[in-house]
Amino acid sequence: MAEQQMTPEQCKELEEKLKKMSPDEIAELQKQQCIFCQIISGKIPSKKVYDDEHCIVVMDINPATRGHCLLLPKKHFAIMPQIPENILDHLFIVSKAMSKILLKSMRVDGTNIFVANGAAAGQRAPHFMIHIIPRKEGDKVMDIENHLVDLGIRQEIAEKIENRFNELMGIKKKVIKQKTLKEVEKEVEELDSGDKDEPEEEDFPEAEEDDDKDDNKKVEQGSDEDSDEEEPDEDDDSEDEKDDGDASLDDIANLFK
Amino acid sequence: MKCEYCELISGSEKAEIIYQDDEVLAFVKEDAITPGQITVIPKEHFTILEMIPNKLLSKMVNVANKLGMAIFDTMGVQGTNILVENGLGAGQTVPHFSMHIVPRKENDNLALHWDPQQLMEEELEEDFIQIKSNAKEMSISDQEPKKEVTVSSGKTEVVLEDEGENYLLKSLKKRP
Repeated sequence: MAEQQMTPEQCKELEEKLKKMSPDEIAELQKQQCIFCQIISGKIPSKKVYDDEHCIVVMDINPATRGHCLLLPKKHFAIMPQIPENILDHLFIVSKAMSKILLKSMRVDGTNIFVANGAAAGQRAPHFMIHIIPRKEGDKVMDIENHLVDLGIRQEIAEKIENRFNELMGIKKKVIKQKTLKEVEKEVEELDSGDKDEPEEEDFPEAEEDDDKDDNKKVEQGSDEDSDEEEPDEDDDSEDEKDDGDASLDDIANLFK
Repeated sequence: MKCEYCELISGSEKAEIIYQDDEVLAFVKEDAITPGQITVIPKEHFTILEMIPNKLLSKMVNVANKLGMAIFDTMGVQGTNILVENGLGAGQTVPHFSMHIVPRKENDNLALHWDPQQLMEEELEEDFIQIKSNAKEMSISDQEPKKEVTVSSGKTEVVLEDEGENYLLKSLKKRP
């Protein structure tokens, strides 16, 4: 849909106005200005194929292909991150059901589920929507080409995104530091020279001597190891244990026994 | 049949994994629409969207949404797309359902768009009637539609819908 361009003066005026408004008033204004909110309220007629508590599905009047549908949340959200989880879940579950309906109704070989967040991503109206597009081979819709991405770039991307993603998911940051062989060798030397920091492995013989508590201790040791794998490791002893999978570190750890 | 994503999940193929739990895995795909694209897949092998249980889909959507936010916060981009290529006709290349999160910048010229068609009013109306009548029987729960949708010809709606899925699966299996 066509967007109206505002002059700088109009923008400034609007900004001033917005500053004085309460969140409720702003929401109401957005609703009045939004074509899709008017479609939802029925002020603008549409071809509605589905309607429930949280969303409606309408036919796109300028479709990518025949049968192209738009799923609109009834509440006005501009982009996906603003939508509460339970509503977002519902929207995608309805999309799944709609996809099935379109496969059957339009006799196609597939569907695209497509969301654009932001104008740069192709979003044309400030109301979140999910496109459900019937597809046939060779229809020239989203003629995507994939390109190989260098391993180095992929690793960099993964690293960059992972930390922020974990924060958003509420996952405790996982710091698994891989030790170099030199670092481990140095530690071995230190351990050999000083008896102060006894590694956990050396507790085993003691535990085995103590016949009464033998079983209990073993269980404890076992559970310790488990939790070490999931949590960031602070102390050196457990880190050696954690790296069980690494053959070279395993060999070095065996030197203690 | 070998599945690229199942091999990745089993660990026999290496990947840059951003997140995984019992049910889903998010990673940086080797070939992408644009660098920074993240792909979310279910760990269990499902071919197409219609086969994904609602609960699993919700989990994937939640992960995809948070990944979208993380991309936005860290990659210096101006937008994101969520894309599902569902079925061979929709550009699906691996027979394992996936959801892509694509970072977007102004004028990046990615082909994630289409030329809007001008349909005749009759064409639009015809499609509308067809879709609306099918959507009446739409069930958004995971349970199969109940027996009440039996059709007089002896064939049931359930059977008809199954045919639709099988057709899609077949077309995917035809891939070399």
